[in-house]
Amino acid sequence: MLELREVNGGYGEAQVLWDISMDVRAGEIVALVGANGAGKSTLLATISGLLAPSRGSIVFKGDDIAGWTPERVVAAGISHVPQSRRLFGGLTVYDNLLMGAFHRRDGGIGGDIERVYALFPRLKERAGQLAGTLSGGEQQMCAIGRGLMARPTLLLVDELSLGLAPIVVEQLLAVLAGLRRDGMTIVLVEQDVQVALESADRGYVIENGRVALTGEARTVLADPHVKTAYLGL
Amino acid sequence: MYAAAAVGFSLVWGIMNVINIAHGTFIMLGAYTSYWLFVGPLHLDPFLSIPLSMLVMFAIAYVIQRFIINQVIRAPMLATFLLTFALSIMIANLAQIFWSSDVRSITTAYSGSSLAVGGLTIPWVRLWTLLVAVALTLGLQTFMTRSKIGRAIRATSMDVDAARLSGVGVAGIYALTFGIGGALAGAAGALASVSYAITPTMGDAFVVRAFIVSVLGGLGNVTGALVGGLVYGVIESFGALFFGEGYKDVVALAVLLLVILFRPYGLVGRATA
Repeated sequence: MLELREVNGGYGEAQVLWDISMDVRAGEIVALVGANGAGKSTLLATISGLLAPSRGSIVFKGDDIAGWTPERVVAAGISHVPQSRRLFGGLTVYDNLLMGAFHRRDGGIGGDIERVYALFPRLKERAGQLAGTLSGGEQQMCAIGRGLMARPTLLLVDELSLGLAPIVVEQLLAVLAGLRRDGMTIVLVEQDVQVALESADRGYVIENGRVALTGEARTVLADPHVKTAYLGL
Repeated sequence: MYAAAAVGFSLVWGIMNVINIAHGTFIMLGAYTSYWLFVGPLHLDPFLSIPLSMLVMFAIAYVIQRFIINQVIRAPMLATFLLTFALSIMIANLAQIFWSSDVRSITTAYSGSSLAVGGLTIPWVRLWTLLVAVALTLGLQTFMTRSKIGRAIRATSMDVDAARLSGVGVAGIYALTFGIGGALAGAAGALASVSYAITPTMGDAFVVRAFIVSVLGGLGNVTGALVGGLVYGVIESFGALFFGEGYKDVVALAVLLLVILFRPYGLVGRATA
């Protein structure tokens, strides 16, 4: 579904990504793990079009989307839930969800809002509240909800667990698992290696902007290097 | 009048973080648009030419944003500040070349008449100006809060990257915002053409006042700009009355200073906004 081939990129002169190759197959959850500053978020931003790769190809459903604007990438079916939520704090929860569907011209927006409310009943209670006043967990729900409103086929979630209580993380992961059962493909970026790999099918370990290791999530989790470097075992 | 001049200025500042020095010249161009429509074969009343003036200025401002200011929109504020300053000098000088620096004015049939309520005499022109300013502000407010584009404009001002990830074409949104600011300047120009002398440099006085009024009202706060404009007008008038005409700016600027010191978020804003 998504194929990255030798993607290089970063911020202007500062190169962060070095020859990243990666595959995401339809219907799977892929975890991107690694330390702070390894380039995981940069990689997501390069896929979603916020950053343009300096070299390499990003093929999504047959189109090379490298260098596309974020608007085009969203319309093509990739929705990026950015790190630290990045909600529109001065807009209500409802308006934030509507913003997620900005590019859509179809009549299904109202129905999709109800679907998001069904996934996160808390958002329905808070619909009229300003997003900036939500708790951390509610904000993450709203951010995921906003991402879903674009009606994506591929959902990129950056730092799902950051700053959230374990029980909230578990709830959110359960929602993602449910979405996957309904056919959604998900790329999950996490600093919490254990959490990410336990809920994923496959994993990529990113170190210093390169793919250090890849394989079945279970295999990666059992890898001795991963165990010592990331799990402290 | 000040309110009308400030609403568009405040919008652009608040949403795009651009202090548009050229806003005054947009008002000037709006006033000339009304003037030429008035003296032309149509002999259009300045109040009726408001929509046309808005349309013309929307188009001009849209193009200026899309092709000129957009190049530096991500640069520090000083860059856009200097750029719009340069634009304002250029536009004012072009106006001088094309239309000369002759002072022009519009005199309508109702120019001298006023409404007497009790002991007060209110010129009709002022009253209509106020009504138009209020109508424009309410219209803009409704557009910003109720429409899809208005929502996207506000979202873009809160988080540009998140807006892009939501599928918003930010360059287009900025051009539209600037265009709306220009349209409001066009309306202000049409209003100004009735009560002020029309010259290529008439915008200078307005842009300074628009700046003060925007701060009084709270940045980007559209209704705040309206309130700020009214407050400023009253302060200036009373300042002139009590301290003499020469001191009215002193009084108005002193009030600005006090507002910045004690209510930096504007007269009607909230500290968290």
